[in-house]
Amino acid sequence: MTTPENPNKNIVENNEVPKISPENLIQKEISQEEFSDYSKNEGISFKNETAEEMEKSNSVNLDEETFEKIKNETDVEDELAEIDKESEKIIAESQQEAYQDTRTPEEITDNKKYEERLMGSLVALTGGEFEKEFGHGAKVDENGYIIKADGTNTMKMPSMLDYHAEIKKNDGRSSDELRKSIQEEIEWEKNGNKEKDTEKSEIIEEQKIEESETLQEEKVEEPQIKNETSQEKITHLTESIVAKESDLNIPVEESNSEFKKEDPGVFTEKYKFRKLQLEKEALEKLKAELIQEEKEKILQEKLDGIFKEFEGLNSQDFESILKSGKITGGRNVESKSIGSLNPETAQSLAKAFTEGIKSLSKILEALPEFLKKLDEEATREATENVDKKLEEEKQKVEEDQKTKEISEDAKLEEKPDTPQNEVSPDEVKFEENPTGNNDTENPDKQKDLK
Amino acid sequence: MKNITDLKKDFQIKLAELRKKRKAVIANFRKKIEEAKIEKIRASILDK
Repeated sequence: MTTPENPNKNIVENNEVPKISPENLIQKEISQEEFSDYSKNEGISFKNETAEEMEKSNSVNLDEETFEKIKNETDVEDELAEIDKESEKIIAESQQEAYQDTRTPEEITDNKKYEERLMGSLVALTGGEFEKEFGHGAKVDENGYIIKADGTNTMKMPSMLDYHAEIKKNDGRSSDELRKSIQEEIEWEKNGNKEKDTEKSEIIEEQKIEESETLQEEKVEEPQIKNETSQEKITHLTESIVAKESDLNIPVEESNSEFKKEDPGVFTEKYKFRKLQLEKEALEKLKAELIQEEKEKILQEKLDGIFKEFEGLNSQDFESILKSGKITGGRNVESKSIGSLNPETAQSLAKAFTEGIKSLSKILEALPEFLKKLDEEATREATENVDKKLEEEKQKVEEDQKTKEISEDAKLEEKPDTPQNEVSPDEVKFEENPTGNNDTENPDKQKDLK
Repeated sequence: MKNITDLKKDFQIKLAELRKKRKAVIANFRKKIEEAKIEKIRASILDK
Protein backbone atom coordinates (compact mmCIF):
# COMPACT_ATOMS: atom_id res chain seq x y z
CA MET A 1 0.00 0.00 0.00
CA THR A 2 1.20 3.45 -0.68
CA THR A 3 0.80 6.48 1.51
CA PRO A 4 -2.05 8.61 0.27
CA GLU A 5 -1.18 11.92 -1.26
CA ASN A 6 -2.09 14.56 1.23
CA PRO A 7 -4.43 16.98 -0.54
CA ASN A 8 -3.87 19.58 2.17
CA LYS A 9 -0.12 19.16 2.18
CA ASN A 10 0.64 22.79 1.52
CA ILE A 11 -1.69 23.92 4.22
CA VAL A 12 -0.48 21.53 6.86
CA GLU A 13 3.24 21.28 6.28
CA ASN A 14 4.18 24.91 6.57
CA ASN A 15 5.13 26.32 9.88
CA GLU A 16 2.46 28.89 9.36
CA VAL A 17 -0.69 28.10 11.25
CA PRO A 18 -2.95 26.65 8.61
CA LYS A 19 -6.33 28.22 8.23
CA ILE A 20 -8.38 25.09 8.20
CA SER A 21 -12.09 25.21 7.99
CA PRO A 22 -14.58 22.75 6.58
CA GLU A 23 -14.88 24.94 3.48
CA ASN A 24 -11.26 24.96 2.42
CA LEU A 25 -10.52 21.30 3.05
CA ILE A 26 -10.46 19.21 -0.07
CA GLN A 27 -12.89 16.34 0.11
CA LYS A 28 -11.44 12.98 -0.72
CA GLU A 29 -12.70 9.58 0.32
CA ILE A 30 -10.01 7.55 2.00
CA SER A 31 -9.84 4.15 3.61
CA GLN A 32 -9.22 3.36 7.27
CA GLU A 33 -5.72 2.21 6.52
CA GLU A 34 -4.93 5.28 4.50
CA PHE A 35 -6.18 7.47 7.31
CA SER A 36 -4.14 5.48 9.78
CA ASP A 37 -0.97 5.96 7.72
CA TYR A 38 -1.81 9.59 7.12
CA SER A 39 -2.31 10.37 10.80
CA LYS A 40 0.92 8.59 11.70
CA ASN A 41 2.80 10.62 9.12
CA GLU A 42 1.27 13.78 10.45
CA GLY A 43 2.37 12.81 13.94
CA ILE A 44 5.96 12.33 12.78
CA SER A 45 5.92 15.62 10.87
CA PHE A 46 4.47 17.41 13.86
CA LYS A 47 7.28 16.29 16.13
CA ASN A 48 9.92 17.04 13.52
CA GLU A 49 8.52 20.52 13.16
CA THR A 50 8.71 21.03 16.92
CA ALA A 51 12.36 20.00 16.92
CA GLU A 52 13.13 22.24 13.93
CA GLU A 53 11.40 25.22 15.49
CA MET A 54 13.41 24.75 18.66
CA GLU A 55 16.64 24.56 16.66
CA LYS A 56 15.81 27.79 14.90
CA SER A 57 14.74 29.59 18.05
CA ASN A 58 18.11 31.19 18.67
CA SER A 59 17.99 33.16 15.45
CA VAL A 60 19.68 36.17 17.03
CA ASN A 61 22.78 34.18 18.01
CA LEU A 62 22.41 34.78 21.69
CA ASP A 63 25.28 33.22 23.59
CA GLU A 64 24.68 29.61 24.57
CA GLU A 65 24.79 30.23 28.30
CA THR A 66 22.08 32.89 28.33
CA PHE A 67 20.07 30.90 25.81
CA GLU A 68 20.11 27.85 28.07
CA LYS A 69 19.23 30.00 31.05
CA ILE A 70 16.16 31.42 29.33
CA LYS A 71 15.22 27.96 28.11
CA ASN A 72 15.22 26.69 31.67
CA GLU A 73 13.40 29.71 33.03
CA THR A 74 10.62 29.55 30.48
CA ASP A 75 10.18 25.76 30.61
CA VAL A 76 9.72 25.96 26.85
CA GLU A 77 10.95 22.40 26.37
CA ASP A 78 8.45 21.00 28.83
CA GLU A 79 5.64 22.93 27.21
CA LEU A 80 6.62 21.68 23.76
CA ALA A 81 6.91 18.12 25.02
CA GLU A 82 3.42 18.45 26.44
CA ILE A 83 2.14 19.66 23.06
CA ASP A 84 3.86 16.74 21.31
CA LYS A 85 2.16 14.42 23.76
CA GLU A 86 -1.18 15.98 22.98
CA SER A 87 -0.56 15.29 19.29
CA GLU A 88 0.06 11.62 20.12
CA LYS A 89 -3.19 11.54 22.02
CA ILE A 90 -5.10 13.08 19.11
CA ILE A 91 -3.61 10.50 16.76
CA ALA A 92 -4.44 7.56 19.02
CA GLU A 93 -8.00 8.79 19.55
CA SER A 94 -8.56 9.40 15.84
CA GLN A 95 -7.26 5.98 14.96
CA GLN A 96 -9.45 4.35 17.53
CA GLU A 97 -12.46 6.14 16.15
CA ALA A 98 -11.47 5.29 12.58
CA TYR A 99 -11.34 1.59 13.28
CA GLN A 100 -14.69 1.68 15.09
CA ASP A 101 -13.78 -1.55 16.72
CA THR A 102 -12.85 -2.76 20.11
CA ARG A 103 -9.26 -1.62 19.89
CA THR A 104 -8.31 0.30 22.98
CA PRO A 105 -5.71 3.08 22.98
CA GLU A 106 -3.35 0.53 24.56
CA GLU A 107 -3.78 -1.82 21.65
CA ILE A 108 -3.18 1.00 19.24
CA THR A 109 -0.07 1.90 21.18
CA ASP A 110 1.09 -1.71 21.03
CA ASN A 111 0.54 -1.83 17.34
CA LYS A 112 2.43 1.39 16.91
CA LYS A 113 5.23 0.06 19.06
CA TYR A 114 5.35 -3.04 16.91
CA GLU A 115 5.63 -1.03 13.73
CA GLU A 116 8.24 1.27 15.15
CA ARG A 117 10.34 -1.64 16.26
CA LEU A 118 10.01 -3.19 12.87
CA MET A 119 11.12 0.08 11.39
CA GLY A 120 14.09 0.14 13.75
CA SER A 121 15.15 -3.12 12.14
CA LEU A 122 14.68 -1.76 8.69
CA VAL A 123 16.80 1.28 9.36
CA ALA A 124 19.68 -1.07 9.97
CA LEU A 125 19.16 -2.73 6.61
CA THR A 126 21.57 -1.91 3.87
CA GLY A 127 23.08 -3.63 0.89
CA GLY A 128 22.54 -7.22 -0.18
CA GLU A 129 19.05 -8.38 -0.95
CA PHE A 130 17.61 -5.09 0.15
CA GLU A 131 19.44 -3.34 -2.65
CA LYS A 132 18.41 -6.04 -5.08
CA GLU A 133 14.84 -5.26 -4.20
CA PHE A 134 15.05 -1.49 -4.29
CA GLY A 135 18.12 -0.79 -6.38
CA HIS A 136 21.72 -0.03 -5.55
CA GLY A 137 22.15 2.72 -2.97
CA ALA A 138 18.63 2.39 -1.57
CA LYS A 139 18.17 3.08 2.10
CA VAL A 140 15.46 3.49 4.70
CA ASP A 141 15.09 6.96 6.09
CA GLU A 142 14.15 7.83 9.64
CA ASN A 143 10.47 8.05 8.80
CA GLY A 144 10.41 4.60 7.31
CA TYR A 145 10.39 5.53 3.66
CA ILE A 146 12.61 3.65 1.31
CA ILE A 147 14.71 6.19 -0.52
CA LYS A 148 16.13 5.00 -3.78
CA ALA A 149 19.56 6.03 -4.99
CA ASP A 150 18.07 8.58 -7.38
CA GLY A 151 16.37 10.24 -4.41
CA THR A 152 12.86 9.07 -5.23
CA ASN A 153 10.68 7.92 -2.43
CA THR A 154 8.92 4.56 -2.49
CA MET A 155 6.19 6.07 -0.34
CA LYS A 156 5.95 2.87 1.62
CA MET A 157 5.30 3.18 5.28
CA PRO A 158 6.68 0.96 8.01
CA SER A 159 3.56 -1.15 8.34
CA MET A 160 3.96 -2.27 4.77
CA LEU A 161 7.68 -2.41 4.66
CA ASP A 162 7.83 -5.73 6.43
CA TYR A 163 6.57 -7.35 3.30
CA HIS A 164 9.83 -6.48 1.64
CA ALA A 165 11.81 -6.23 4.76
CA GLU A 166 12.94 -8.88 5.45
CA ILE A 167 14.92 -9.68 7.23
CA LYS A 168 14.94 -13.00 5.66
CA LYS A 169 17.64 -10.99 4.01
CA ASN A 170 19.21 -10.34 7.32
CA ASP A 171 19.04 -13.42 9.44
CA GLY A 172 17.12 -15.98 7.47
CA ARG A 173 13.79 -15.45 9.19
CA SER A 174 10.67 -15.09 7.15
CA SER A 175 8.40 -12.10 7.43
CA ASP A 176 5.91 -14.08 9.53
CA GLU A 177 8.61 -15.31 11.86
CA LEU A 178 9.86 -11.80 12.34
CA ARG A 179 6.40 -10.45 13.12
CA LYS A 180 5.82 -13.24 15.58
CA SER A 181 9.09 -12.65 17.35
CA ILE A 182 8.48 -8.90 17.70
CA GLN A 183 4.97 -9.54 18.99
CA GLU A 184 6.31 -12.04 21.48
CA GLU A 185 8.90 -9.57 22.57
CA ILE A 186 6.30 -6.86 23.19
CA GLU A 187 4.07 -9.30 25.06
CA TRP A 188 6.97 -10.43 27.12
CA GLU A 189 7.63 -6.87 28.15
CA LYS A 190 4.00 -6.35 29.04
CA ASN A 191 3.96 -9.41 31.20
CA GLY A 192 6.87 -8.15 33.21
CA ASN A 193 9.58 -10.67 33.75
CA LYS A 194 7.39 -13.71 33.35
CA GLU A 195 9.38 -16.36 31.66
CA LYS A 196 7.98 -17.62 28.41
CA ASP A 197 11.05 -19.34 27.27
CA THR A 198 13.81 -19.80 29.77
CA GLU A 199 16.67 -19.73 27.33
CA LYS A 200 15.34 -16.75 25.42
CA SER A 201 14.59 -14.92 28.62
CA GLU A 202 18.13 -15.29 29.83
CA ILE A 203 19.58 -13.77 26.70
CA ILE A 204 17.04 -10.94 26.68
CA GLU A 205 17.53 -10.35 30.38
CA GLU A 206 21.23 -9.80 29.88
CA GLN A 207 20.65 -7.30 27.12
CA LYS A 208 18.05 -5.47 29.12
CA ILE A 209 20.23 -5.11 32.16
CA GLU A 210 22.89 -3.54 29.96
CA GLU A 211 20.40 -1.23 28.34
CA SER A 212 18.78 -0.21 31.59
CA GLU A 213 22.18 0.71 32.95
CA THR A 214 22.73 2.93 29.96
CA LEU A 215 19.30 4.42 30.38
CA GLN A 216 19.78 4.98 34.07
CA GLU A 217 22.95 6.84 33.31
CA GLU A 218 21.10 8.93 30.77
CA LYS A 219 18.30 9.54 33.26
CA VAL A 220 20.78 10.74 35.85
CA GLU A 221 22.50 12.93 33.29
CA GLU A 222 19.43 14.75 32.06
CA PRO A 223 18.54 16.83 35.13
CA GLN A 224 22.19 17.70 35.65
CA ILE A 225 22.53 18.90 32.11
CA LYS A 226 19.59 21.23 32.55
CA ASN A 227 21.34 23.26 35.21
CA GLU A 228 24.76 23.30 33.62
CA THR A 229 26.32 26.11 31.70
CA SER A 230 26.79 25.49 28.01
CA GLN A 231 30.44 24.68 28.45
CA GLU A 232 29.75 22.27 31.27
CA LYS A 233 26.95 20.74 29.30
CA ILE A 234 29.12 20.19 26.27
CA THR A 235 31.91 18.83 28.42
CA HIS A 236 29.44 16.48 30.05
CA LEU A 237 28.02 15.31 26.77
CA THR A 238 31.41 14.90 25.23
CA GLU A 239 32.34 12.73 28.14
CA SER A 240 29.64 10.29 27.15
CA ILE A 241 31.46 9.78 23.85
CA VAL A 242 34.09 8.03 25.84
CA ALA A 243 31.49 5.98 27.66
CA LYS A 244 29.86 4.89 24.43
CA GLU A 245 33.05 4.20 22.55
CA SER A 246 33.37 0.73 23.96
CA ASP A 247 29.92 -0.14 22.60
CA LEU A 248 30.71 1.27 19.21
CA ASN A 249 33.99 -0.52 18.85
CA ILE A 250 32.16 -3.80 18.30
CA PRO A 251 32.31 -4.41 14.56
CA VAL A 252 28.91 -4.58 12.91
CA GLU A 253 29.53 -8.09 11.57
CA GLU A 254 30.53 -9.31 14.98
CA SER A 255 27.51 -7.83 16.68
CA ASN A 256 25.26 -9.23 13.97
CA SER A 257 26.61 -12.72 14.26
CA GLU A 258 26.29 -12.50 18.00
CA PHE A 259 22.62 -11.72 17.75
CA LYS A 260 21.84 -14.03 14.89
CA LYS A 261 21.07 -16.78 17.32
CA GLU A 262 17.31 -16.46 17.00
CA ASP A 263 17.37 -13.60 19.43
CA PRO A 264 14.33 -11.39 19.17
CA GLY A 265 16.30 -8.48 20.61
CA VAL A 266 18.52 -8.37 17.53
CA PHE A 267 16.59 -5.61 15.83
CA THR A 268 16.46 -3.41 18.86
CA GLU A 269 20.18 -3.94 19.24
CA LYS A 270 20.82 -2.85 15.69
CA TYR A 271 18.71 0.21 16.20
CA LYS A 272 20.56 0.94 19.41
CA PHE A 273 23.86 0.50 17.64
CA ARG A 274 22.89 2.93 14.91
CA LYS A 275 21.57 5.35 17.49
CA LEU A 276 24.88 5.20 19.32
CA GLN A 277 26.75 5.90 16.13
CA LEU A 278 24.63 8.96 15.45
CA GLU A 279 24.99 10.05 19.04
CA LYS A 280 28.74 9.71 18.81
CA GLU A 281 28.85 11.84 15.69
CA ALA A 282 26.75 14.50 17.38
CA LEU A 283 28.93 14.47 20.46
CA GLU A 284 32.10 14.76 18.42
CA LYS A 285 30.58 17.77 16.75
CA LEU A 286 29.92 19.22 20.16
CA LYS A 287 33.50 18.59 21.13
CA ALA A 288 34.65 20.53 18.08
CA GLU A 289 32.34 23.37 19.10
CA LEU A 290 33.79 23.30 22.57
CA ILE A 291 37.30 23.54 21.17
CA GLN A 292 36.21 26.47 19.05
CA GLU A 293 34.72 28.22 22.09
CA GLU A 294 37.87 27.55 24.06
CA LYS A 295 39.96 28.91 21.21
CA GLU A 296 37.97 32.10 21.11
CA LYS A 297 38.39 32.43 24.84
CA ILE A 298 42.14 32.01 24.54
CA LEU A 299 42.36 34.55 21.73
CA GLN A 300 40.27 37.01 23.70
CA GLU A 301 42.56 36.52 26.69
CA LYS A 302 45.59 37.20 24.55
CA LEU A 303 43.91 40.27 23.21
CA ASP A 304 43.04 41.47 26.69
CA GLY A 305 46.67 40.82 27.62
CA ILE A 306 48.10 43.02 24.91
CA PHE A 307 45.64 45.79 25.66
CA LYS A 308 46.74 45.66 29.25
CA GLU A 309 50.31 45.98 28.04
CA PHE A 310 49.30 48.99 25.95
CA GLU A 311 47.85 50.55 29.08
CA GLY A 312 51.20 50.11 30.82
CA LEU A 313 53.19 51.70 28.03
CA ASN A 314 54.47 55.22 28.31
CA SER A 315 52.75 57.68 26.02
CA GLN A 316 55.83 58.05 23.83
CA ASP A 317 56.01 54.35 23.01
CA PHE A 318 52.27 54.11 22.47
CA GLU A 319 52.25 57.14 20.14
CA SER A 320 55.09 55.55 18.23
CA ILE A 321 53.16 52.30 17.83
CA LEU A 322 50.14 54.23 16.64
CA LYS A 323 52.21 56.04 14.05
CA SER A 324 54.64 53.38 12.84
CA GLY A 325 53.67 50.11 14.48
CA LYS A 326 57.03 50.13 16.29
CA ILE A 327 58.14 51.32 19.70
CA THR A 328 60.59 54.17 20.07
CA GLY A 329 63.96 53.13 18.76
CA GLY A 330 62.38 51.37 15.78
CA ARG A 331 62.02 47.99 17.45
CA ASN A 332 59.06 45.66 16.86
CA VAL A 333 56.53 45.36 19.65
CA GLU A 334 57.28 42.36 21.85
CA SER A 335 54.13 41.34 23.66
CA LYS A 336 54.16 39.00 26.64
CA SER A 337 50.84 37.51 25.65
CA ILE A 338 51.17 37.35 21.87
CA GLY A 339 54.87 37.52 21.16
CA SER A 340 56.49 39.58 18.46
CA LEU A 341 54.09 41.71 16.42
CA ASN A 342 54.75 42.96 12.94
CA PRO A 343 54.36 46.77 12.64
CA GLU A 344 51.09 46.55 10.72
CA THR A 345 49.37 44.31 13.27
CA ALA A 346 50.75 46.31 16.18
CA GLN A 347 49.52 49.54 14.62
CA SER A 348 46.05 48.13 13.95
CA LEU A 349 45.77 46.77 17.47
CA ALA A 350 46.84 50.09 18.92
CA LYS A 351 44.21 51.85 16.80
CA ALA A 352 41.56 49.40 17.96
CA PHE A 353 42.66 50.04 21.51
CA THR A 354 42.27 53.80 21.18
CA GLU A 355 38.86 53.35 19.60
CA GLY A 356 37.76 51.13 22.48
CA ILE A 357 37.23 48.05 20.32
CA LYS A 358 38.16 45.14 22.48
CA SER A 359 35.99 42.31 21.32
CA LEU A 360 37.61 39.50 19.39
CA SER A 361 35.03 39.41 16.63
CA LYS A 362 35.54 43.12 15.81
CA ILE A 363 39.29 42.78 15.86
CA LEU A 364 39.12 39.79 13.56
CA GLU A 365 36.99 41.72 11.13
CA ALA A 366 39.62 44.43 10.94
CA LEU A 367 42.62 42.16 11.29
CA PRO A 368 42.08 38.75 9.73
CA GLU A 369 45.82 38.08 9.71
CA PHE A 370 45.79 38.40 13.48
CA LEU A 371 43.83 35.17 13.65
CA LYS A 372 46.11 33.50 11.10
CA LYS A 373 49.11 34.21 13.22
CA LEU A 374 47.61 32.88 16.40
CA ASP A 375 45.27 30.25 15.08
CA GLU A 376 47.58 27.26 15.18
CA GLU A 377 48.84 28.00 18.63
CA ALA A 378 45.37 28.76 20.00
CA THR A 379 43.91 25.60 18.45
CA ARG A 380 46.60 23.47 20.01
CA GLU A 381 46.13 25.11 23.36
CA ALA A 382 42.33 24.85 23.17
CA THR A 383 42.47 21.17 22.22
CA GLU A 384 44.82 20.48 25.09
CA ASN A 385 42.56 22.33 27.52
CA VAL A 386 39.46 20.49 26.33
CA ASP A 387 41.17 17.11 26.44
CA LYS A 388 42.41 17.85 29.90
CA LYS A 389 38.96 18.87 31.05
CA LEU A 390 37.49 15.74 29.51
CA GLU A 391 40.03 13.56 31.22
CA GLU A 392 39.22 15.15 34.56
CA GLU A 393 35.51 14.74 33.92
CA LYS A 394 36.05 11.15 32.90
CA GLN A 395 37.86 10.32 36.09
CA LYS A 396 35.13 12.00 38.08
CA VAL A 397 32.40 10.10 36.26
CA GLU A 398 34.23 6.81 36.74
CA GLU A 399 34.59 7.45 40.41
CA ASP A 400 30.92 8.35 40.71
CA GLN A 401 29.98 5.21 38.84
CA LYS A 402 32.07 3.07 41.11
CA THR A 403 30.41 4.60 44.14
CA LYS A 404 27.01 4.11 42.55
CA GLU A 405 27.73 0.49 41.66
CA ILE A 406 28.88 -0.27 45.17
CA SER A 407 25.75 1.27 46.70
CA GLU A 408 23.54 -0.50 44.13
CA ASP A 409 25.18 -3.84 44.86
CA ALA A 410 24.53 -3.30 48.52
CA LYS A 411 20.89 -2.48 47.75
CA LEU A 412 20.49 -5.52 45.52
CA GLU A 413 21.76 -7.77 48.25
CA GLU A 414 19.11 -6.38 50.54
CA LYS A 415 16.26 -6.35 47.98
CA PRO A 416 16.63 -8.84 45.17
CA ASP A 417 13.12 -8.31 43.71
CA THR A 418 11.89 -5.34 41.70
CA PRO A 419 8.92 -3.76 43.44
CA GLN A 420 5.72 -3.97 41.44
CA ASN A 421 5.05 -0.27 41.30
CA GLU A 422 8.55 0.56 40.15
CA VAL A 423 9.35 0.96 36.47
CA SER A 424 11.34 -2.11 35.54
CA PRO A 425 14.29 -1.87 33.16
CA ASP A 426 12.26 -3.72 30.53
CA GLU A 427 9.54 -1.14 30.48
CA VAL A 428 12.03 1.66 30.29
CA LYS A 429 13.98 0.07 27.49
CA PHE A 430 11.37 0.09 24.81
CA GLU A 431 10.18 3.57 25.38
CA GLU A 432 13.09 4.37 23.16
CA ASN A 433 12.11 4.01 19.58
CA PRO A 434 13.05 5.45 16.23
CA THR A 435 10.53 8.26 16.35
CA GLY A 436 11.09 9.03 19.98
CA ASN A 437 7.51 8.36 20.99
CA ASN A 438 6.70 7.25 24.49
CA ASP A 439 3.63 5.17 24.43
CA THR A 440 3.97 2.56 27.08
CA GLU A 441 0.86 3.09 29.05
CA ASN A 442 -0.81 0.38 31.07
CA PRO A 443 1.98 -2.08 30.52
CA ASP A 444 0.14 -4.72 32.52
CA LYS A 445 -2.66 -5.00 30.07
CA GLN A 446 -2.19 -7.86 27.72
CA LYS A 447 -3.65 -7.46 24.29
CA ASP A 448 -3.31 -9.21 21.00
CA LEU A 449 -1.69 -7.28 18.27
CA LYS A 450 -3.40 -6.81 15.02
CA MET B 1 -20.75 7.32 13.54
CA LYS B 2 -18.43 9.66 11.62
CA ASN B 3 -17.05 8.62 8.27
CA ILE B 4 -13.31 8.66 7.66
CA THR B 5 -13.37 11.88 5.68
CA ASP B 6 -15.04 13.69 8.56
CA LEU B 7 -12.63 12.11 10.97
CA LYS B 8 -9.74 13.33 8.90
CA LYS B 9 -11.15 16.83 8.88
CA ASP B 10 -11.56 16.80 12.65
CA PHE B 11 -8.08 15.44 13.01
CA GLN B 12 -6.60 18.20 10.85
CA ILE B 13 -8.43 20.87 12.78
CA LYS B 14 -7.24 19.49 16.10
CA LEU B 15 -3.69 19.31 14.85
CA ALA B 16 -3.91 22.84 13.47
CA GLU B 17 -5.04 24.05 16.89
CA LEU B 18 -2.07 22.33 18.40
CA ARG B 19 0.26 23.96 15.90
CA LYS B 20 -1.21 27.30 16.83
CA LYS B 21 -0.55 26.58 20.49
CA ARG B 22 3.00 25.54 19.70
CA LYS B 23 3.58 28.65 17.63
CA ALA B 24 2.52 30.81 20.56
CA VAL B 25 4.89 29.00 22.93
CA ILE B 26 7.82 29.38 20.55
CA ALA B 27 6.98 33.00 19.76
CA ASN B 28 7.02 33.81 23.45
CA PHE B 29 10.34 32.05 23.84
CA ARG B 30 11.86 33.85 20.86
CA LYS B 31 10.69 37.16 22.22
CA LYS B 32 12.54 36.49 25.44
CA ILE B 33 15.66 35.47 23.52
CA GLU B 34 15.54 38.65 21.47
CA GLU B 35 15.03 40.78 24.57
CA ALA B 36 18.06 39.16 26.18
CA LYS B 37 20.12 39.77 23.06
CA ILE B 38 19.13 43.44 22.97
CA GLU B 39 20.02 43.72 26.62
CA LYS B 40 23.43 42.22 25.95
CA ILE B 41 24.11 44.59 23.08
CA ARG B 42 23.02 47.54 25.21
CA ALA B 43 25.32 46.43 28.01
CA SER B 44 28.28 46.03 25.68
CA ILE B 45 27.74 49.50 24.21
CA LEU B 46 27.60 51.03 27.67
CA ASP B 47 30.72 49.11 28.57
CA LYS B 48 32.81 50.71 25.85
